[in-house]
Amino acid sequence: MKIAHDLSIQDKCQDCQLRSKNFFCQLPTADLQHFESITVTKAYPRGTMLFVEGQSSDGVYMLCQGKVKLSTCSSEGKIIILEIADAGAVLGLSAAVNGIEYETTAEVLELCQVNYVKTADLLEFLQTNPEACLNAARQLSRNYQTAYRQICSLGLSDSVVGKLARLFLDWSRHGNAHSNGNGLGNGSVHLKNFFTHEEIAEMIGTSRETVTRALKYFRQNDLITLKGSDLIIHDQHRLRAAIGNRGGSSDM
Amino acid sequence: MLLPGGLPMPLQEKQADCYYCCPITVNELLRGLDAISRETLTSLEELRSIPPGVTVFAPGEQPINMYVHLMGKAVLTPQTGPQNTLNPCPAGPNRIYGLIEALSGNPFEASLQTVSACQFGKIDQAEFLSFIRCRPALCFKLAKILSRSYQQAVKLINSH
Repeated sequence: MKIAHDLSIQDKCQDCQLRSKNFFCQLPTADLQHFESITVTKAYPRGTMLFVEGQSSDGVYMLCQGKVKLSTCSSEGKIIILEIADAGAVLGLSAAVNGIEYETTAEVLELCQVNYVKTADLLEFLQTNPEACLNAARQLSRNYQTAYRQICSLGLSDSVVGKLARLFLDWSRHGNAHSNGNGLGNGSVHLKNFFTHEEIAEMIGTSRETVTRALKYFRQNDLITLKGSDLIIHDQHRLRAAIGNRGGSSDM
Repeated sequence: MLLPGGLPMPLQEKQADCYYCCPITVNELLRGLDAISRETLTSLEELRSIPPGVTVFAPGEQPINMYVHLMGKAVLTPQTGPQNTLNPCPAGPNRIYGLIEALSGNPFEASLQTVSACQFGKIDQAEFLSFIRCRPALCFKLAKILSRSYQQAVKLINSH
């Protein structure tokens, strides 16, 4: 977890050493200068709510450093995590483009730096800058695909054991930035997990207690070792076989 | 997919399948486009007739081309992993496949297979991106369509 003195603020896009392949980081120099003129650089500590679901959209937050959790809440009060946004993501873009309320809640997971842009300024920038506009469409297409995958994941009739196995396999497959996967050979992989059981439950649409039971099942069957933030998947093939398995318990 | 009254349907496997059906139609793309741009876009299209039983694209493939479904019947089978496919959903004309993948840079996550003899307009992805790059109004329209689709997706997730 980053603390205050770990964050080196980069307030000039052109001189930034963190430029990612995403969104506006790769714009031509003149466009980048224009973009800088409409942004306000801010830093937020863990736990800050950048915006809340249902709140009127007033701007977008370009995430330069840190991680932000995007979640939504059902009418029954169930929280579902849509994704963990990394550096390069633009938060609140969808609401800004259509001029409606934010569809999700954005909560800072670790100390972050954002470039905030007011909606009116952003829309003017997009409409006069084709490259930026194309990048906005790219970002939104990725958001759509992420939401689609979440729909599929929630809609599948997998058991919780299966959904949890799928989540861990996704982390290992994508070399997930939140979970630094190091292959250990023989189908095993070492990940770093910074999520609580509650957060994992919110990712797969179940309760914290059920996740705890599922993790216990994985440990008892020697599928994983979980010690602190170290998650070791012993054999990805065996873990994959758990998908579709009810885990020996009717409530998982 | 909405119930009468606009409420999203409860999230079930079948709805999850059909949600992959591309939200962008040909009519939406062409609406409001000037005559010269329409002509340019049409010139990018290479017509292909495909017999039944052919896989047009498969999960994991990088989208080099986009496909405009002009005629015939096909089925779209979303896939969520090596062992998991969802129920096929019927795919009819007027849809554009590969556009979202072209924008996101991600591979296809479904397969499209022809059921009857079909006609598709094949468009090279790089040429299409060059086309829209020169037309910010069209880019912005795509952004708005994708935003609305994303918002509907979040509502569907909320109904879980």
